[in-house]
Amino acid sequence: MEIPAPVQKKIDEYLDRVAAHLANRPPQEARSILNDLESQIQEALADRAAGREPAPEDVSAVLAEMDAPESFDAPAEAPSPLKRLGLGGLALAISLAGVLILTIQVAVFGPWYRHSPGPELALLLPITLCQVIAIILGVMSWREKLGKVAVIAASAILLVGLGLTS
Amino acid sequence: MYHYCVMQSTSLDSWITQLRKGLLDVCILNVLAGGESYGYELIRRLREVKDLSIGESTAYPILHRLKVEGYVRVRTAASPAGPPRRYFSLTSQGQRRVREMNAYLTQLLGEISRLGRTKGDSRGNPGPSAEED
Repeated sequence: MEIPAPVQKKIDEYLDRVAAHLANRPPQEARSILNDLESQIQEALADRAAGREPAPEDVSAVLAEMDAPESFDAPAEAPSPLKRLGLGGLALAISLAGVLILTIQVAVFGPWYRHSPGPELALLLPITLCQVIAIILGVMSWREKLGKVAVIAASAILLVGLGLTS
Repeated sequence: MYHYCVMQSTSLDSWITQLRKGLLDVCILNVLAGGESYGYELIRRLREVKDLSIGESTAYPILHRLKVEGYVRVRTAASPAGPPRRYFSLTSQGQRRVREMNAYLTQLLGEISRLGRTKGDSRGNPGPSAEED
């Protein structure tokens, strides 16, 4: 079916407006939706024109039956706090949590640790575990900036800790 | 009183919207269970279900997701009308999924409809009347 230029222009205008509302979707999905829409418009136009050359009024009628471009907006979904943080952010948070735990331990139980035998293990186990977990998660999210920061920070904390205890 | 009615209507609308959203996948998969279909034809079939209010902006993103999830496959073939048609069809995984969905829906609707009957039937009375509501 031959499509006259004014008709094609109207189709392109509609697809451009839809494309603007698909901007938040992955490019592959947006392209796939636009291909399907163009194909649907052509089919509907051929149906309506029934053998004759489609007129601009035909395409207007076809587009009027279709969803408005605004309705192609991706549903707004608030990302969960964990998603916003990312794996790298989580690794860094765990590393810092280890330091916070150690600080609290020293502040609250400091006097008790001084008078009891073998306090090092109780003090060092939580922070060491946190740093090891942070390094593992940081390596897993190495592509993220926070992942790299977490690995460096956790390694530094471990090395300083080892230096202080030995 | 007016405020109460508006609230009732809004909550019903919101319930219907949620229910429709949940049914869109099963509707699309059921159309494709009848054989492969291209976009224009698929949308026309879906629009036959008046209360579903499904259009292109809903159907095509779902079709894309179903393709990514492996339930639907797409093939492109020449069309007499214009650009090549994209035909959608179910994969074997999609056929299994639609069977499971239909079986679950049938079971669920059966159990829901039994909920209203059980009390009245078991005691030999018709249950609560409409006036009591």
